[in-house]
Amino acid sequence: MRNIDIVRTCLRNLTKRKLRTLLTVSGVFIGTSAIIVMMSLGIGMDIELTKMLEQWADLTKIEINNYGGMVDEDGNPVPDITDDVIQSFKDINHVKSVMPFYTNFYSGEQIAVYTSDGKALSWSPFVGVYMDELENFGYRLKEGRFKQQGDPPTTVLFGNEVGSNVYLYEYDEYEGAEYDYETWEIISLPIDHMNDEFFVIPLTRNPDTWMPDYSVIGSKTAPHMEYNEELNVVGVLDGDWSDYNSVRGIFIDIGYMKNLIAAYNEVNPDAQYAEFDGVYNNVSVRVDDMNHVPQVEEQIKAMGYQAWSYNQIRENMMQQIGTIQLLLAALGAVSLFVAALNITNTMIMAIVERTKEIGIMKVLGCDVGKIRLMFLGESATIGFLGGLVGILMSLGFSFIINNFLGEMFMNAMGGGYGMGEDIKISVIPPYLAFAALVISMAVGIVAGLYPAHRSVKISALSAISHE
Amino acid sequence: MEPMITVKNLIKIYKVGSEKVVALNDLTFDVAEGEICCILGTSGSGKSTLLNMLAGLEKPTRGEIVIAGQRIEKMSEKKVTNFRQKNVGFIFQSYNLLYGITALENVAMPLMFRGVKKKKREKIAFLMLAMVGLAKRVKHKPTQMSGGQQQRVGIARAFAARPKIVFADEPTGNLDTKTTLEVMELMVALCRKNNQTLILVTHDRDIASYADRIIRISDGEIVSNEYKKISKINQFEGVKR
Repeated sequence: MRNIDIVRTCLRNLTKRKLRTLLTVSGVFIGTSAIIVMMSLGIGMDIELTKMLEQWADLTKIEINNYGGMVDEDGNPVPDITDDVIQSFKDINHVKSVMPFYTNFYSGEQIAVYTSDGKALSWSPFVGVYMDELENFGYRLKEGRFKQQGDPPTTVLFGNEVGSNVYLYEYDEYEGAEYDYETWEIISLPIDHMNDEFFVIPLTRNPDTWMPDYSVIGSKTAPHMEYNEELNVVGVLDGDWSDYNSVRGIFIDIGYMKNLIAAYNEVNPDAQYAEFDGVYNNVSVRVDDMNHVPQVEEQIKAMGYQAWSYNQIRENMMQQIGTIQLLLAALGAVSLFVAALNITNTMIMAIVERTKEIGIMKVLGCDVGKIRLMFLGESATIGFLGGLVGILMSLGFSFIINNFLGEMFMNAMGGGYGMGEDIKISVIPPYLAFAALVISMAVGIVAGLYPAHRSVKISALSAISHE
Repeated sequence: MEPMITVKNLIKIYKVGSEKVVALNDLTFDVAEGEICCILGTSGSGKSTLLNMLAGLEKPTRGEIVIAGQRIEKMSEKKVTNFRQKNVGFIFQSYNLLYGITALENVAMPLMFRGVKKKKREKIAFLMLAMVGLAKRVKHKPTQMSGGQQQRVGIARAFAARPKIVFADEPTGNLDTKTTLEVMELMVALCRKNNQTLILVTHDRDIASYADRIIRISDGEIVSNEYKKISKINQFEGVKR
């Protein structure tokens, strides 16, 4: 018997009893759509949560700190982070980039960055990094370019809000940026990052008040003016508040940072700063994918370092969502289980009704395997149709939930956290739809196993002789 | 020439509770190819049991059955089903048609089991139905037909796959006299046409007279086994179209 004939027979038997088929199929699609909708809520929550975390946290970043003298849980000292260690972090699988952050000085405190027209940047940290690595680490530009080969050591990149507050040292006044008070976005800054001329000079701090002395700027007196240098500003970063430095930092090479410390120490014999000794306090590791963060973090910890990432928070939240998701899916699974019993029942009825027919087919030489296939095919088709309709229905439900119930739901959850209007609390990715189809078909087949087995057992002789 | 069917020392004993009932007691006979053989006996004589065993639907207690050179009592269910599919056609007293499908599909069914493509098997089925005079009823379902018509569909189905042997179990048991004659002549004619072997099981002597040979069975034993001198069928010419 050809496969196409088995399929034809299945379909004919199903269409012959339309109402019964319809009722059985509806059991399956109710179960399937229950599972899909429940799962889609979990997936939607996951996506929303990730989106939310991404707004205020960098999820592919691992931070490693060692402020000196730290010990781990067993009391062993945490090893120093040096350039060699950074290289070994970089060799870990899935690590895209490693960046040291050496931040000691603030503009306006120890060192002044000022423009030729008398504005000194206040309260901006100098961030000593590998300037050549910035782009690879994931920083984006708002203006200009990254540091290139051949640029002088005085090359800097500004965070996009550097200069939002400047000190007019000649008048002892401050000037701030203009803000749009609706959105808190900056309309204009008192300085022009790309076109103003910027200089750097070490300041003397009053040993009693710790106040910096701006009078050195433009003075003809040594030693300050010996260290006065023009900065080579090549670009402005497109910063965001999940990384303070990217907004307010003045990015320079670590080598240049050493020069600045040396210059400062020269002019402040009474208030010395520790020279850079090759040990970093702060290193960040960029991982290629958020899902690889845990394993990378694990390896760094295994090397004896203290690592931290937002992924830990995310994982905790995911675990909670996972529990909810499991609960919801279990609810759906119950209805699918009922649907499976329903299929079994329908198939047993069909077999009882068709006992004689099966007997005749056997007498006429129909292989029992083909008879089994026919019945399995029928129950699989019921499962498949149920899955198909279930997918369509859950797409409809999902649409309704997202468009009409979404806001209500979010408000019930304690108010939307300013996510805007494109909240999708129910998301059905293709793999979910596909899996639902496969599962519902599998349920159909499993539910049909026993009835099909019974059909095989029917004795041809007794089936044809009962009148 | 080797006989189409050889039955040797066939014994069938049923157990009813603790009692043993001998249904067939040491039967031995054979049937040649192309022969029309009638197994004649009253109800309870064991003739239906014999037919079931020849068709491989029941296993004998002892003895052997060789059909077309194969020991069918030794075959597994799967094999014997396959054997029936390739070699055997059936005609039943109660027709045993499938009532959900058309006459054409009923006749085409044995061919479907053999794996013949839909177009081809339906063409053959149509020709068969035309041969039994039902060309205009191919799309009818058996429920819309008279008993005689249903049995003609049954005959078309039995012969459609050109089996070596056709078993007919009281084929006219549910039919009136006139229809009985039509059906018998049709069956015999189709058999003769392709030199097929027909095993006719009946209790009716008039029906038996269509056969070349009559084996009478009573209480599970062969009472007589004789060839008829002149078969009615020898006078019958051709198939009615």
